Amino acid sequence: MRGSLCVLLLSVFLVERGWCGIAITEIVVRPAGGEGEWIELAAPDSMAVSLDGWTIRDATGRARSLAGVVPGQGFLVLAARPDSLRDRYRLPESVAIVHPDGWPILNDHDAGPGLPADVIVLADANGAVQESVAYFEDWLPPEAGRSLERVDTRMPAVIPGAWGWSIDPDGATPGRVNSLAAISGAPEDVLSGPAEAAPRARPAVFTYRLPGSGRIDIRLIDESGREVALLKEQGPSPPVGSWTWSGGSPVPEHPGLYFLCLRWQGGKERIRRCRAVWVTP
Amino acid sequence: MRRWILAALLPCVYGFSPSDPAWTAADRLDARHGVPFAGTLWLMSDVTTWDALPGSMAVRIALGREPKSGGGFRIGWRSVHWPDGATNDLEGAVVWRASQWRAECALGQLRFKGERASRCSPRVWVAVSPHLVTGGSITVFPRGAPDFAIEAKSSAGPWLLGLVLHENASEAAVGIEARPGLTVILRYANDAPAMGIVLDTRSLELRAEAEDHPLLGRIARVTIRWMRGRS
Repeated sequence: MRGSLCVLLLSVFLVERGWCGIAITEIVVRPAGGEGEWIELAAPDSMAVSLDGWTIRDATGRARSLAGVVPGQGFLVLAARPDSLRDRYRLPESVAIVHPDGWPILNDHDAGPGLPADVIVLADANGAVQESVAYFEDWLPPEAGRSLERVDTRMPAVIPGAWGWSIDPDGATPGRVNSLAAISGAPEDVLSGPAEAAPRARPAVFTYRLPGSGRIDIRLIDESGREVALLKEQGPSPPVGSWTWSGGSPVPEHPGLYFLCLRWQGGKERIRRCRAVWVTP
Repeated sequence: MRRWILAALLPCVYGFSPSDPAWTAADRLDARHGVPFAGTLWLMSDVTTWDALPGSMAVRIALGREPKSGGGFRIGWRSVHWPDGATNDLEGAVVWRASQWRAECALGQLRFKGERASRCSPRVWVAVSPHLVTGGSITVFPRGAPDFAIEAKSSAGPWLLGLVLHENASEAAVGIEARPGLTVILRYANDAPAMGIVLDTRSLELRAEAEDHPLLGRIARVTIRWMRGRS
């Protein structure tokens, strides 16, 4: 609670001071292999921004100097191990990767009840905070290597609904447009996905956007309201996420119209959202 | 004891009628899957909406002739629309009816874009007594396991009772004819309670039902049915 309050005050301060046009758009706190932690920065406007004199710091408050240029409408990646990151995601030389001193810096466990796991604060050459995000443990994908993606840079980074787990097959999208950008214009509490699914032939990806992190389960219901299958057992979920229906999950025995239903519980708040899907076993 | 045995044998002495109270209970408790009034030509339509599926709606139109004895038919079309798709379902059935039993065989096909799912559903009802009918149905699909259902419908004075057992689900319903032409029905199926009100003016029937489903949210359905030849 105290951490959230700090971040909120920080964001108000940020709005008061004016924004230079750099956004934190993707974070990997739990790397899969040797690529280490990394943070993607983007310049949504067409103007390039030099990071000379800029700093980045975490909850400990220790500032690390940055360098390089974020190209207009482009990306720059801050990485603990730039070469490994470039190899893992086959990033071209055109994608700038910078290694700030003193990495790794990010924690993946909440600092205490109501306190975020860590805070990332980006400050310009004048020391003014340009962007900050305080993330909590339950925002982070349990799967190593999957990134936490910013859904929409127009939403303040401090809002839980601004972040979600990457749905890219590689698990992350360093140096390119985020995989969740496709649902950035979607309203909250929505379940989207294909109108037809043949999970045994090809996986079907369903994405959802919820008011906050919580616990979800996904079930398949037939037209008469009977439960056909429990597709995803109740588990933690970020505000924005995806679920892939593949051949390994239960599939109904005969083709037809079914309702794919997601149930979300965040504290005392509950949401039910369903989607009609033609399913071919 | 002898009195009860005689009472049980009475239908065999005096015979069954296709308008026995149990058949009425079968119709009242479920207009869509029940047994229409014998001797009527009927036309019905219903509209269904689901709270958890914003922008979705199902519409059904059906026509049938329910004989007092002999052959009849039933045809129906049902469409489910949602924001990025729609299905169309066509079903036709032949009906054969006698005073003590009723049989039907339905063929249906559900379509979505280029996809099709066909089914065949034979169904048999038998009147055990004027106040109790039992039945069973099987729905066979070209691919996949069939669906089974066993049903019983009963009437005792103003009370109506119904039970449906599927392979992994069950449904219980109780209704009361509060006054002539007004029936209130409570149903519990799929972990969801439901309530329905039926207004019956002999040739026209209006039915409103609301169900609170744990996942689909509030399901609302309005049905109107016109009947000719009801005795």
